[in-house]
Amino acid sequence: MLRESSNQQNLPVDITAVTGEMIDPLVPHGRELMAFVDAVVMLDFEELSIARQALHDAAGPGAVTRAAAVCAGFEGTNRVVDAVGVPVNKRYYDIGDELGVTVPDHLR
Amino acid sequence: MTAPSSALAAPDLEAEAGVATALDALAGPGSYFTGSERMAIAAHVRAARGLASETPALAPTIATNAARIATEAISVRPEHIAAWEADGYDVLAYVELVAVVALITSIDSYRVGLGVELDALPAPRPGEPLPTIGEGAVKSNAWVPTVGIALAPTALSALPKEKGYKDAISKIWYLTDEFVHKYGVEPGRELTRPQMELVASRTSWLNECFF
Repeated sequence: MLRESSNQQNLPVDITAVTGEMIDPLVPHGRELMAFVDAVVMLDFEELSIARQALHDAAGPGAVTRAAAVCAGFEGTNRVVDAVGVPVNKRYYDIGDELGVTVPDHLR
Repeated sequence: MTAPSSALAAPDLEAEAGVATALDALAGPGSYFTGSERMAIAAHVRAARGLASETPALAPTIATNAARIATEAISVRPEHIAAWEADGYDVLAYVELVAVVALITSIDSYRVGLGVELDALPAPRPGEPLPTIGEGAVKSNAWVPTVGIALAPTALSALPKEKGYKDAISKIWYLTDEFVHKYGVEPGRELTRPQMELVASRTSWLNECFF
């Protein structure tokens, strides 16, 4: 979805940042967004206070709210699809290879 | 309605209403679990994630599966669902368990992100469970029954009420159906679509989810 939306909007993106460390995703405020998500998902409250402040300072309070909202929604969706065994669509296999992640056998 | 106060996050009254509705849905009887059981599951999810310490009584099979889904969903295998059924539980009760775990996890993560207190779990509403099953739900390409092919949007379709609860808050938080597959269209949120997709992708990667 990230690649698709960036392509259709003719915007640069480096999707390898999704699975990498210290890679600029080329999306505005991308580093701040990823640091914020990392802290929320990992429940790292010390890092979260820093990341939230940084995201707020870079992109404003609305960005904090929307990032929390989108992250929250996918926290739920991720658990649903993995817990009921929704197989990964084969068209995503190539992206997985590009990101250096392998679709596990049990979800193929 | 007043949003919980966070100095660094903008209030979102639509989301607040959505969370309140979702919590109310969690507290009522479902298709297989009572409101008390659903609230107990929610409490166990919080404890498993390190967000609470007290847990009410809950059958070990339910508690174990709730914790697994909450903290390491990628580790779930068909054998776990087979064991669930061998313990005498309906496979659709497992679907309800997944739905409850996912909904309370989402709500709690939202609060964590905003930097506000978690919502108090509401008092359970009385009443017996009443199965409401999606017409034509059968096992196809997933481990549980779905209506049609199992995809992310249909994963909970065997229990349409549970699917509805999740869909309702997801649309408020992320994208409505109008925009979800229109990748070139900006929905007018506080973040651009690529920014939201970056958040979604990173969340999924951290959860080891390939969706």
